[in-house]
Amino acid sequence: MPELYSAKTARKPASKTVSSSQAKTSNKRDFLPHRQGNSFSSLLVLPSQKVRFETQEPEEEILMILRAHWVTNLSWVLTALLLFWAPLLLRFFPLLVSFPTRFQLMFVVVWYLVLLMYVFERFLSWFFNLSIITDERIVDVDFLNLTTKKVSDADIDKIQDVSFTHNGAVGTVFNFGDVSVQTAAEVPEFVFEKVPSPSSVANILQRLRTEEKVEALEGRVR
Amino acid sequence: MEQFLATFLNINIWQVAKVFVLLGLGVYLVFAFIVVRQVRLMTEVVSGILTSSLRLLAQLFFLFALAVFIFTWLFL
Repeated sequence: MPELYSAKTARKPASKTVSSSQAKTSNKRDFLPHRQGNSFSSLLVLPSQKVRFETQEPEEEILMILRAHWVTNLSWVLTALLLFWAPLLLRFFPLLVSFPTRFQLMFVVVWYLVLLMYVFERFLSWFFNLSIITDERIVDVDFLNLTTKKVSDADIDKIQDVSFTHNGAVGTVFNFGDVSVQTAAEVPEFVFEKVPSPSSVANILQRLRTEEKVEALEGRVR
Repeated sequence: MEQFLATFLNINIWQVAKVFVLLGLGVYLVFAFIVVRQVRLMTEVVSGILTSSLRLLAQLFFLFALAVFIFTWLFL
């Protein structure tokens, strides 16, 4: 008798009820790119277990974390650089000469404080505007300004339609754009703004949606 | 009345300017405190990505604003 055949009969029969996590582990998700990215990346694929979000369930796995492409920061970085050197203009245009020296110094200090505030606010705004894709849902974290944040999520199986656009010439050159996700959840539309490789992200969402449908058919819904 | 006018006219304009600068820096200090709170809240929403570094940065930002406020109060 062939060894292969005897090996098959020797195995224990597989349990009919496979837990969701087991099923997900066995599923390789070959449509996902390799693990990549660091804390400042616009695209983190399969981040470490340390990275978690507030409403994450114990068995839920983060597949991707997306931010706006780093190129979108160039405008405010260049503005900040210009503003950083702006006080040097006072050497050529002595506008503050009628002020006492200590007030002239104060003007420069306040200038840099405002600049620091601007840079910090813009950085935080970019850093915390996240879109998270897990094996169960999509989460959109919007850091609207320093006093307002908005966190919304929708299950993958609630996704109805996924589309993407490239934003202008810069978006085409650097391959970033918006991914729009229509859902049947409370929030009808999620927009992942200016994310890198929007076509890949849209494709991954479609594949995850298919995966969820297959799981629902097989009765492996968590 | 004359005494009041004299007092009013003898006000040092730079002292008034100092008060306005301090008011502005006070608002900035409140803003810096809001940043500390907001960074804490945001790092709770998503933890594990530079959590401690960002919190430290926000606290340094607040301390810097506080130092500038005190420095201005004492030396301007």
